[in-house]
Amino acid sequence: MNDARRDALRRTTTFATFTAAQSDRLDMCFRWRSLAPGEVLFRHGDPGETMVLVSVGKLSVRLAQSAGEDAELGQVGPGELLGEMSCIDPAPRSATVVAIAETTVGELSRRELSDLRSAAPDVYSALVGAVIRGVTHRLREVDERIEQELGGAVPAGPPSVGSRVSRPTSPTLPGPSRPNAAPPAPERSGLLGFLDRFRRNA
Amino acid sequence: MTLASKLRDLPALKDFTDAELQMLQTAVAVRQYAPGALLCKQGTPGVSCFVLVEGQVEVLRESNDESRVLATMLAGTFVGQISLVDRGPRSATVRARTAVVALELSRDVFESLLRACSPLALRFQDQIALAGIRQLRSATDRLGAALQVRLSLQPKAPRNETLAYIQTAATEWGLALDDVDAAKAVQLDGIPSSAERAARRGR
Repeated sequence: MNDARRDALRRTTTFATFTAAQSDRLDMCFRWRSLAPGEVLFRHGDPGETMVLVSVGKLSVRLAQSAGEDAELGQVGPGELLGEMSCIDPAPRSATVVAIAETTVGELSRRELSDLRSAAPDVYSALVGAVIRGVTHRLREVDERIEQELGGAVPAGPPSVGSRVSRPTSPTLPGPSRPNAAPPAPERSGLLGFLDRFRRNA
Repeated sequence: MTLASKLRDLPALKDFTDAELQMLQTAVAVRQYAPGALLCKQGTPGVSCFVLVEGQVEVLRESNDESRVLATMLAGTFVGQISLVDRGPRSATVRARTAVVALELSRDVFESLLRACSPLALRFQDQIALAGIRQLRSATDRLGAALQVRLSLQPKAPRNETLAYIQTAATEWGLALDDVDAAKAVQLDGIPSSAERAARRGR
């Protein structure tokens, strides 16, 4: 196996628990290809059903701005995995990804993942299990973040240049008082009720 | 209608063979709940997940003496799989809205089936993956809506792209959620350089 590819597979958190034999088997499943700087891996809105592992180089994750210019959301490099959810549950790509250096990526399609299921069930199960753990971890993070957002709806004013948006921790909700453990009612309490009204009025 | 034929009708189990459905029935406990009964309670240890066979449940999130209904789940849905996977406490309370029949699969049974790479366990694992992915996408939408409300209250109202950034960041790319703040800063302050982003992350 190519050293850079082996290294990328090892560095990927998702595959951290794989045995050497499982990594080798997985390496065989990926279709590896090179991208020149400026070459687009995929575009926002493209049908997405492959996961992509970066072996060498760097890619920029971008979103089109209304002004016609792309804004960069982040960069990804060796050992990072993209699109693993779409490979299991296809969805349109939510951003454009462009190589910004000489780059090598491995792609694994939904079809190839499905072939792996019958050819090497242990590798398949380890892979899906790893994606599930990643998704579960992110789900808890997002849930916690939602709690923080709902816990403090008081506008903090515009952030100064370069500052982080403040994260209120104390529940200082404006609006109606909150009944304890309210059963579902036509008008929801707290920020969710505010959100409903906001949506109706928007 | 027998349990077997009810299971046969569930979309989530459509790929299961008859033999697998039969095996599933031996691997799970069949539970019945009256309206209002709890399938699981937020914060308690979770050692199983549920497949709803009949009826509806509400998923409730409780905080600060308030409980909010996040979603109503119908027959065919997998619930409670988060704790099954990461051994953490239940992230929400699940309450029967109607009379409910559910299959409860314990972690011990699931893990021993997985170790044996049984086809049943692989199918179950596929469904757990789908349930988790869809739940994450839906949670990210809710986060986007909550952020939109907060940002809309700020004098410098953001454009729709802000929301797109947030959703993009959190779902497809699995960026650390700190990066979501960086993404907002892109919208509000212009595009930061990689160095600026790194500095923000490092703070």
